[in-house]
Amino acid sequence: MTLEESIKSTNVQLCYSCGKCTLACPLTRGEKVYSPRRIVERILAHGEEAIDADDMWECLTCNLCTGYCPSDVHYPVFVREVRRKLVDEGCDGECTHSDVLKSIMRLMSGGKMKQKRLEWLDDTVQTDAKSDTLLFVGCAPYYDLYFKDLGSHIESARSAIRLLNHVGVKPRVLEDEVCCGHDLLWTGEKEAFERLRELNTETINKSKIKRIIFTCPECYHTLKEDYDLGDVELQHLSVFLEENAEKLKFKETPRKVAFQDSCRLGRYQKIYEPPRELLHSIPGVELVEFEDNRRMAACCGTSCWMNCDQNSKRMQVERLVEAAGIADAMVTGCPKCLIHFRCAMDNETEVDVEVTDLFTFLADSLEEAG
Amino acid sequence: MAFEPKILAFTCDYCAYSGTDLAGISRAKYPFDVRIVRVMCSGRVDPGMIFRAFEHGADGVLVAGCHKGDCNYLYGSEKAEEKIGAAKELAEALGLGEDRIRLEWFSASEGRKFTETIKDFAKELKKMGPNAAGAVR
Repeated sequence: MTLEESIKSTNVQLCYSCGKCTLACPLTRGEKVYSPRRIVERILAHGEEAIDADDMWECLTCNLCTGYCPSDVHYPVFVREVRRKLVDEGCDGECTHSDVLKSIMRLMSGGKMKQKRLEWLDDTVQTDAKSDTLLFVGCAPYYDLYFKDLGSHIESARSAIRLLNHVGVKPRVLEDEVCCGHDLLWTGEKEAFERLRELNTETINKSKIKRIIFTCPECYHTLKEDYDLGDVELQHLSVFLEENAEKLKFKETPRKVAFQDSCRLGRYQKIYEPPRELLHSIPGVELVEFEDNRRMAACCGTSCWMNCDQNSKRMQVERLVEAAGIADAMVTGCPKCLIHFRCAMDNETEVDVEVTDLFTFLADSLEEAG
Repeated sequence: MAFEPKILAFTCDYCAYSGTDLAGISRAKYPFDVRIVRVMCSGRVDPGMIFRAFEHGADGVLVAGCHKGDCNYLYGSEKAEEKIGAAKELAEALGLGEDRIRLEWFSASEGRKFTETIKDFAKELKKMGPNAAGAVR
């Protein structure tokens, strides 16, 4: 895509410089100067030579700006397109964790390795190798190995199956599923993303899958928007569970919880209510709201394993402090939010609030959980 | 042509690198396809650096540090153990196999140990065959 095409497809030329994006941008709440309006203005006036790589890599792609924009400019998508150009020119973003997670994704994209990604399955969960409903596990097994004590994502996947079993579904899980490619796509590595997309599409078609259920908002968003899977039905687990809410039997769980909307699930996919309805349906749970919630929800501070800095930590700590003030548990819908907030809590603050994952919380509140 | 494994070795500046130097000065023979990257401390080697090597087509990665207690930065060897442990677990899950990553301790006088380690590693890697992922970058 040329720069002109990216500008047109993301409505950038419709920007009339009102500056609401700058006001909305979580980066500007600290000491950082970041103005999507001015960045766009410069690029519109001077073309490619006005592209500043730092501007492009700093964006969190949280989509808060798009929500405020009266001209419907999709700034994060524009940033994504420009990043492709930057990567082609050899200018990568700054990666945290020495790029290991994206490295793993790229290695997977070769498609020749036999992964051992299902060793966590045990007799507490029931899967069915012939089912046409797939649970897309995503990167959970790798997150658990790398981040160790920052929340168990395997537990989240196991909880997802327990919840599905509870409503009478035995899902299939695939050993040769690969990463959805979200992070590579959003950091401009289009070729590796396309290889992953091809591998997953082939596996899904070959296995005659009719419905895919997701726990991770990023996988859900990517397969929905950037894959072409034909008639395969894609559903986030919270939506599926809400449709089957009458089958869910929860036990009394006296907790005060706040739900942290994630960008991909909320602002990108507009799924705000199902997770709340589910939490609300647990007897004893009091659901409280952050001051900024739903489409205004604060960002967890980093995206695609890039640019974790003081600014990110500040955003995370602010959110945690607010959570501790209103609730005794903060429930997140995204594995990355969970990692980021847990990390901030371990390293930066003494805030006393439990940060947990939506599906683990729900499964632990089931009647059968004892 | 017979498969000759490509090995990347991260060697700590203080002990292990001097060890490889000694191997060189002593004109010791060891497999040709080993590339050495000098780092300040084996504890500095992140899993990401190891996987980057695999992305570029390495068949095995050796991390060479100082014997425990000899580290110039006091606890580098312990840090290396932790990080390389995580890298091995990731490699195993990914299907690369944890045996493609090795962590060994050397002192500056152990040039011979270095050549023996490389020879042995190359032998094991030959049995394993090429890195299944191949070069993806």
